[in-house]
Amino acid sequence: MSIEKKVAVAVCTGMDQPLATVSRYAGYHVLEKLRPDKTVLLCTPALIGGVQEDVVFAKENPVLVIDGCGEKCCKKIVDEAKGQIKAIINVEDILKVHKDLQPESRAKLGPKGMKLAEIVGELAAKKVDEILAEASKSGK
Amino acid sequence: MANKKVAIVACTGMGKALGTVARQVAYKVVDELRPEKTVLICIPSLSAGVGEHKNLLQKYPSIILDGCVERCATKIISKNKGIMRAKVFMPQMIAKYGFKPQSRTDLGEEGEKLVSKIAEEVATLVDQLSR
Repeated sequence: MSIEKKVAVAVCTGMDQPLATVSRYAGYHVLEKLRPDKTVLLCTPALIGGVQEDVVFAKENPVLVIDGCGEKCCKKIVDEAKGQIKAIINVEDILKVHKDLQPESRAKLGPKGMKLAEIVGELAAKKVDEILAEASKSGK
Repeated sequence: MANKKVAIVACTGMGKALGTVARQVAYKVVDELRPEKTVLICIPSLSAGVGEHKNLLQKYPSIILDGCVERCATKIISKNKGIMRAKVFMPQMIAKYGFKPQSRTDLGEEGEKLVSKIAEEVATLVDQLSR
């Protein structure tokens, strides 16, 4: 008998920039709609705060990071917690490809920002599939 | 002399609707109600050592908006030696006002009312602390 692996999705959760809010909604999109059976949510503040459930999950499962910008705070936080990062998506990079999808504000994304979040979520879902396929191949 | 500012620190957690409430309260206070008297602290940036967040925390009194019993925001600010002057606990606010947020992605009408009520309380705290 084996326990099916899940991908832990860690999201920027920053408050300064609208791109952080995009990463947040992208995380929810992949977790709640696109791959609910294959993912679990890592709560970034809980990880920083040392909440055991999140710390253990980051160490024992492959982690997908969705960072908001070039500062890569989420990656740094997961690294600090010794999480197993397998893929990183940066919202800033995706926005460069979809320049027309500028979010309205950091408090409210608006239709364009939500569309950007959905696109990031779809990319994240593909990464989740790749990570699990790789884990299955290597037997980990 | 420049007026003293107040640092607003919200949970930013993703697991529960209360994290979203804390986040929206912080934006309402900092962006709408008291923009001239507040600075917003970003927990991920603070923890990753990005920007001036640590300096701001050690310079200004802070109001902590915790989302749940884990009180991650309080722990993180304490670890960074912030000057904590007030704490607002979201579950207590729900009990006080009786409004329940719909979900973590969509607070709904009651959740928005809850955000407004809490933000008004936090704005009053800002006025007291910035004197």
